[in-house]
Amino acid sequence: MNKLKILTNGIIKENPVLVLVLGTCPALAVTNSTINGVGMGLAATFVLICSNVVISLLKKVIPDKVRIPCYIVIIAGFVTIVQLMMQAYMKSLYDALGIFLSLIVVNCVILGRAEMFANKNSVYDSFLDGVGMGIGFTLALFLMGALREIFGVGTFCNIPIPGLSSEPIALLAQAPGGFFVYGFIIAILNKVSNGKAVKRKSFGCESCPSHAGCSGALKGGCGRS
Amino acid sequence: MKAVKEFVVPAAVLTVICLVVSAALAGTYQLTEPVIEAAKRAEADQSRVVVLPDGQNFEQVPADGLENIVEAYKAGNGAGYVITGKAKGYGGDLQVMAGITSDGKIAGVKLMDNNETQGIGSKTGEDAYTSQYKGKDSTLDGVTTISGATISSKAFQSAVTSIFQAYGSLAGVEVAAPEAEDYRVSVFPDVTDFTEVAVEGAKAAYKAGDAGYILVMESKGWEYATSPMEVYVGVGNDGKIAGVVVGENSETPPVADVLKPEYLSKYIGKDSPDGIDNVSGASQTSLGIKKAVRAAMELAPGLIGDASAPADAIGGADGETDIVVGDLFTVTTTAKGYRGAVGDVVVTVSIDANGKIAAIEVDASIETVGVGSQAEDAAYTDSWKGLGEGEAPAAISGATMTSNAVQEAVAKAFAAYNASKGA
Repeated sequence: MNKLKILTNGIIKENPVLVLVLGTCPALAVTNSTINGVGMGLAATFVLICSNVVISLLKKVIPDKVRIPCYIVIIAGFVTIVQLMMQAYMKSLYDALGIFLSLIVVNCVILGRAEMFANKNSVYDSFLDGVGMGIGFTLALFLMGALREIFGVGTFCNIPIPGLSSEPIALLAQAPGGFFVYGFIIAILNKVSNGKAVKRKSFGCESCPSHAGCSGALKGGCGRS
Repeated sequence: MKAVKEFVVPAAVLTVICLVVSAALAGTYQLTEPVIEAAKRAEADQSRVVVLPDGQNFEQVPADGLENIVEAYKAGNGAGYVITGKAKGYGGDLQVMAGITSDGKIAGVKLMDNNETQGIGSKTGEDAYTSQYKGKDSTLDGVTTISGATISSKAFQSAVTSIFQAYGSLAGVEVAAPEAEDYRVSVFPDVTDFTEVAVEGAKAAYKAGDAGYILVMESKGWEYATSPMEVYVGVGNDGKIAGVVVGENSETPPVADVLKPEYLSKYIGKDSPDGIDNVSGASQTSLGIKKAVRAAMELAPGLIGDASAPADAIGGADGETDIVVGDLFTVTTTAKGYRGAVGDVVVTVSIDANGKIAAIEVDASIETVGVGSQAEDAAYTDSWKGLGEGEAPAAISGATMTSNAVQEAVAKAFAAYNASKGA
């Protein structure tokens, strides 16, 4: 695959949050402000790149039987390192992200890319994929965070916006608002790409995490395209 | 060989990966731990400045000899001390951090760790409550409790008192203790001199100037309360109740109304608790107060020197005692009801010379609240009045076992009545 294509894949065509609909927990939970959204995006990107690289390096070494536990240990290791660093050097962001920082371990984007890409591709390709997916994730979170903060709180990066800060739509800054904005953005993306982005291509059985134990896989598909 | 490949290799790979990751984590932790610790200490110092604004460079001092103290800090610049004390509140221990200036006054207090009920006990953390402590010295003169959150407020106060004690030892100064609340004054507001008298059967007793006497009775209120109630019963020289005030108690917020003067004032002028309704939702506490008042009125004649107790008085509610007063034969009997395994239903019956029930009081506080406890209500007990031996009103629907227990106890009372006649 063209190296540039791998990189840009994750930004629009297979954006993890808006197309693959992965990583929705942090996408909804920490996008109540732009800074939090971007902070989470960057933290997750760092973990994604590191884990993609390491898993790709070890893809021949890790036996199939124990691959999930191994991936999780590696990902958890990186997440904990990020947590400790943040707690020491970026305390306010650490407090803002709270529990969602530790939840990066089970962020579907990271585990999903490990399964779908890193264990089948070269280290450099996996690195690029990590970067691309990370950028796409961060961009999506930035978009959601910005919309929810501007219209829900009336500020942008904590700077009040004249005119909007007096009567914000408070609902947008809370949980239901997260869902609204999320769906709204996916709808727009769908329209802009004339339906191409969201068309669920058949990703094939190998990319589904449960393919090892699925009876449908033997028959060539589970009917989900 | 296949076995090795299938089982040993995966396990080995996983183990190695775990070891490598652990090493990396240990390394990162070593690196970041000092930074994190320093940040935590700075944050904690921040919180100490809240209660002692002039304080700087707080240094921890050992708190092991000090009672009820969690930790103590001395301000490096001599501004005073910041001490965290604890006391048992409503939901367990609560912690209070207080800043004491070098002249022994409170600079500020803050509610820390606690499990108090949200919206009730938690109000002790609010500014409206904590601000009253500013500037007070160790006597805590004028500190008020939050209505409906007595236990939490008292615990907060107790913690602050402990803090002052600790301050005293740390700074090497004398601290005056807070004045105990004088409930006697609430009973007889115009009396200034109370002299203690010895009365057997009461926790304490006082002659209240020329107005009368105060008997302090201990009585169990709510079955789950952690300590009995102290009930101050004031008896005037006319032998009537002058006032009832509930002192130290661990009754819970929902029964707050029964402790208020509005309810307790109903006792004034009466000679017994008869005819006073229980407060809805606080039957056990109401009954506890009634028991205390009854017991006090028992002892009152001895104090006042007035031997004419009213003819329809009911005797003591503890144990089986029979008293003949006027034409009435009064006896207290017991029987096992629904909760017989735990305790008895206690019935006090007064039978007149015609063998008919003149008065009856039921203590079914051991029975299920709202079900068997209905046997205490006037609606039920009134239905017994005027009945003779062997006669009984209908049982309370849904509380058959309790009703049967009352019947059994009444039968025992009649048996005692007959025995006293026969002898």
